[in-house]
Amino acid sequence: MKLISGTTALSGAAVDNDILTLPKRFIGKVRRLQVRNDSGAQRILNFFDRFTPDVSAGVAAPAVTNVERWRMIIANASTITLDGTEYPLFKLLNLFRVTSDAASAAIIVSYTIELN
Amino acid sequence: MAYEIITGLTLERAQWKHRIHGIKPLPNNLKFSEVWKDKGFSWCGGKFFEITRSVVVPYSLSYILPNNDYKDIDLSNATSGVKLYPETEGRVYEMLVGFKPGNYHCILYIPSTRPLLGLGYSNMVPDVTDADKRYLAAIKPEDSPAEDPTVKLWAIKEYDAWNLRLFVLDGVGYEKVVVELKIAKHDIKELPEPPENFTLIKHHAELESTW
Repeated sequence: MKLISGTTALSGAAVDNDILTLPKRFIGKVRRLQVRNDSGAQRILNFFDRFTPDVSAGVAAPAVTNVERWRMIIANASTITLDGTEYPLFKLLNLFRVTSDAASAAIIVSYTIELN
Repeated sequence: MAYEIITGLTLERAQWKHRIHGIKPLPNNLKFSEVWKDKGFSWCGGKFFEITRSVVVPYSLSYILPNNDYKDIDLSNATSGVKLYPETEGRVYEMLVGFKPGNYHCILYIPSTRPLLGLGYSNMVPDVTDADKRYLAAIKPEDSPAEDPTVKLWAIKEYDAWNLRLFVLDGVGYEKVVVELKIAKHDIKELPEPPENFTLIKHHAELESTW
C-alpha cells in the first residue's frame, strides 16, 4: 500500500489553496483528514478535486473541472478529525484543493491519502 | 528441501508471469494459424516458431473521463495509436492488459469498428450508446485486475489495430481509467519441424464470436 501524508497551512491572503497533485497513473483514497481552526472565527471549508478531463467521444475540448468532494463547518479553536481507515472518505483523481469562505490564516489541514 | 514458502512478492509475480511465454523453460513454441497467411502475413501464417529472446516491458495509460462517455484507445503504431506494436517481422508482442479498480469497463474492438465479441442474434453486439448493450462483452476491472491481468492480446508488425473502448458508467461523475500493460517482446525463429508442444495464435477473424 502506498501512502502520502502531509500538512498544509492555509494562506492568509487566499481563500483557496492547493494541497497536492496525485501522480498521473494513480487514484487517491483519502484515509484521514484533520483540520485545526485557529483563525478566530467559524469557517466553512470545501475540499475539491480539480482536473482537466481527457478528450472523449462526447467532449472534444474538455475544460478545467472542479468537483467538490467534502464540505465541513468548523468552529473556531476546534479540531475535526475524519477517519477513513475502514472506508475511504472520498476519492481523488488529480489536484486536491481546499477553499475557505473567508481568507483565513491559522487553519491547518493534515491528510493521509492512499495511492491505488 | 521438502517444501518452500512462497513469499507474497514471488506469488504476486507468478500470478501473471505464468501466463506469458518466454525462452526455455517457459513455454516457448508458437504456431500462427493458416488464416494469418490468407490475411497477408505470409511470413508467419501456418508456421511454427521458437522464442529465442524475450523481455517484459511494463507500461500504463490513464485517462480522466466523464460518466456515460467513452474513449477509444488504439494500441497499434498508427498515428493516432499509442504505438505498442512491433516494427519488424520475426518479432511478436504478447500483451497482458489489466485495469485498476474503478467505475468503468472495457470492450475490445479489432479493427476499431468491429467488436471482437458478440452474440448470434441480429445486432447483439456491444453498443455503448445503448443502455443495455453497453454491457455486452464488457470486461470489468475485476475481470482483469492490474496486478493479475487475464486479458491477453497478440500483436505483430502491421497487424490490425486492437482497440480498447473504455466506457465510464453513468451516474459516477468522473472516473480515472488506468490501464496497466505487461508487454512481453519475443524474438522468434522459424522451426523446420512441428514441435511437440506449442501455443496456437489465432487471427482475430477466427476469434470473432457473432455466431
